[in-house]
Amino acid sequence: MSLGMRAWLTLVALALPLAAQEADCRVKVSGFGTLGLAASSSDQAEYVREPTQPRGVLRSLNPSLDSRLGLQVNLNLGADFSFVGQTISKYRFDHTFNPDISWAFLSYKPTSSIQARAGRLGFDVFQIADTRNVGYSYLWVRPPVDFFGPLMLSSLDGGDLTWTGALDASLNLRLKVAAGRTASIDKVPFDDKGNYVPLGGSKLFGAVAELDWRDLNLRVSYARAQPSEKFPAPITDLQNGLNAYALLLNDPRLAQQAKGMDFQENCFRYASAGLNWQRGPFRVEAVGAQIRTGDGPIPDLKSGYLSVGYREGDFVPYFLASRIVSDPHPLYLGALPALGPQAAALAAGVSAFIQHQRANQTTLALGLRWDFHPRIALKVQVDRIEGRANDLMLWINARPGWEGKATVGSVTLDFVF
Amino acid sequence: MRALSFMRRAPILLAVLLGSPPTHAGEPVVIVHPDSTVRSLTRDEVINMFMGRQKRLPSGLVVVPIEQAEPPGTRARFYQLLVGKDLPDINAYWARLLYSGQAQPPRQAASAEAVLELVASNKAAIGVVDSARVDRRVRVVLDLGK
Repeated sequence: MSLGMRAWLTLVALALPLAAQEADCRVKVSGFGTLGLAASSSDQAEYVREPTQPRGVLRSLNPSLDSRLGLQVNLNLGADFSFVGQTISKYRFDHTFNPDISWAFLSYKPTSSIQARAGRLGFDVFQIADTRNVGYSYLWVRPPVDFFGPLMLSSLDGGDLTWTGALDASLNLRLKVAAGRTASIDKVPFDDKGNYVPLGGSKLFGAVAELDWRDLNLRVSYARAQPSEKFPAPITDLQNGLNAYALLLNDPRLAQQAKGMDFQENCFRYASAGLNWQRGPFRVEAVGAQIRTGDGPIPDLKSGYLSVGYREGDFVPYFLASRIVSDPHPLYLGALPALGPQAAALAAGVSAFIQHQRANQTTLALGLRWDFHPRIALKVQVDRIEGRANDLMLWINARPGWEGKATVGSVTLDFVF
Repeated sequence: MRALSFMRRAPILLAVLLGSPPTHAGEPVVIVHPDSTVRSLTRDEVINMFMGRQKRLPSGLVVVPIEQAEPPGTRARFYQLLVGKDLPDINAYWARLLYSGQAQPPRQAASAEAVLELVASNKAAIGVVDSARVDRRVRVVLDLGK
C-alpha cells in the first residue's frame, strides 16, 4: 500500500466519527474518471499530456496518457462547515498509478458572501486548472497541452479566502486570495534514472477576480511561486561544472549563469486572463497567460487557447487552437564549447537543459463529444502539433531527426459517479 | 373512465379552489413549505440557488435546493427554462464545481412525490416539480412557464 493510499484511509477514518457526531451531517462519496487511448504519428519524440508523465505516446495505442480515476468525499458539518477530501490516481513521475491526495480541506462559510478554506486545496490560478483531471467537466479529451503543460502545480497546502457578491441581480463578482506552499505530490521526472524535479514546498501566493454576467464569465488572475527545493543532481552537477570553469577561466559570467540556473533563483510569476461564453448551443472559451521566471537562462513563456463548440442534441463538435512561445533568456557559455571535449560536453549539457525549459509550438485540434448517457461522455479528437524541434519542454526522449511535428489521435470515455 | 380522470385531476382543482396561484400545467414550478418565510423568488435568485452560487437568502436562511431525478424530463425542462442549457451541460457544469470543491449540486429526490414530501417536511427546502403535481402541502414561489 502506498503512502498516499494509507494517508487517504487515515483521513477517511478520522473524518467518519466526526461525521457521525453531527446531527444534520451528510456524507457524500462520488468520483470521476477517464478511460483513454491515444496514438501519435511520430516515433521520434513522445507526446505527453503534462510534463509530470515519465513516458509519452508514440505510434502504438497508449492508455496511460489520459486515463485517471478520482474519488471524493464531501462531509457537511452543519450549516457553516464542510470537509472535502479527494484522491486521484493517474500516471505519475515514478511510472506508477499510485494515488495522491489532491484535496483535503475544511471549508467555513459563515455568511452568504465569505468562504474560508484551509488544508490541501486546488490551485485554480488558470481557468479550470483545479478540474483538469475531471474529463467529464470539459469539452476536449484533455486540457490544451500548450497551455496547461507548463502549469505543473496542482495542489497547495495552505488557505484561501473567497468573497462573492452580487453587484446586480445578474452580475456576480468573485474575489479570491490564496497563500501557502505547493503540495509535495507534484514531481517532474528528469531522466530514466529516477531523478525528478520536486515542485512541492514552493511558497505560493495567488489572487483571482471573476465576473459572471448572464452567459459570460470573465477572469483575471495572478500567482507567484518561490521554489524552495533544489534541482536534481544532474543539474547541480552542471552548475558545479560552470562554477569550476568560472574560476579556471576567471569568467564570472559563467558563475552568474550557474546561479541563474538555480531553482530557488527563479520566482515563477503567473498572470492570466480569460473568458468563457455559453449561450444556447454555442460555447466559446479563450484564455491567455504569461509565465515569468528569474534573471537566469530559464525562459519566460506565453501561451493561450481558443475553443469553439456547438451543441446539436447529444453531440458537440468542437475546434481547439492553442499556442505556446518562449521568450528565451540569453544563454552564456563563454569559451566552453571550444575548450576541449570535457568543457564542450558541459556546454552541451547546459544547452540541453535550457532546451527542455523551452516550448514553441501551435496545436490545432478537431473533436467531437457525445453525451450518450447522463453521466458518461465519449470523445474523439485529432491534434496536429507543429513546433520547433529543439524546444523540448513538452516532449520526451526526442530522437535525432525529430522535426517537431506530429498528429495525435485520441479517444476517451469520461464519467462521473 | 371519466371519474378516474377527475380523480387524477382532483388535487389541482383543490389547489386552485384553495387559492394557490394558477400555474401552467406541464411546466416546472419552484415550490417551498407553506410556512416558509419566502413569499416569492425571482428567476435570478433561483439561478443563484440551483447553480451553486448562493444558498443563503438575505434573511440569513440557508436553503436546500431539491430537484427531481426521474423522469429526467422535468429537470431538463427546468434548466432549459432557467438558464437555457441542456442536461449534459448542467451535469458537466456541476462536475466542475463539485470536483474543484467549490459547491455541491442540488439534492436529488427520486420522484415528484419525493420532492413534495421533502419540501413539505422541511422549511428550508426549495424544490422543483411539474406544476401538475403541486398540491396544498407546498406553495409555488416561481412559475417558470409564465
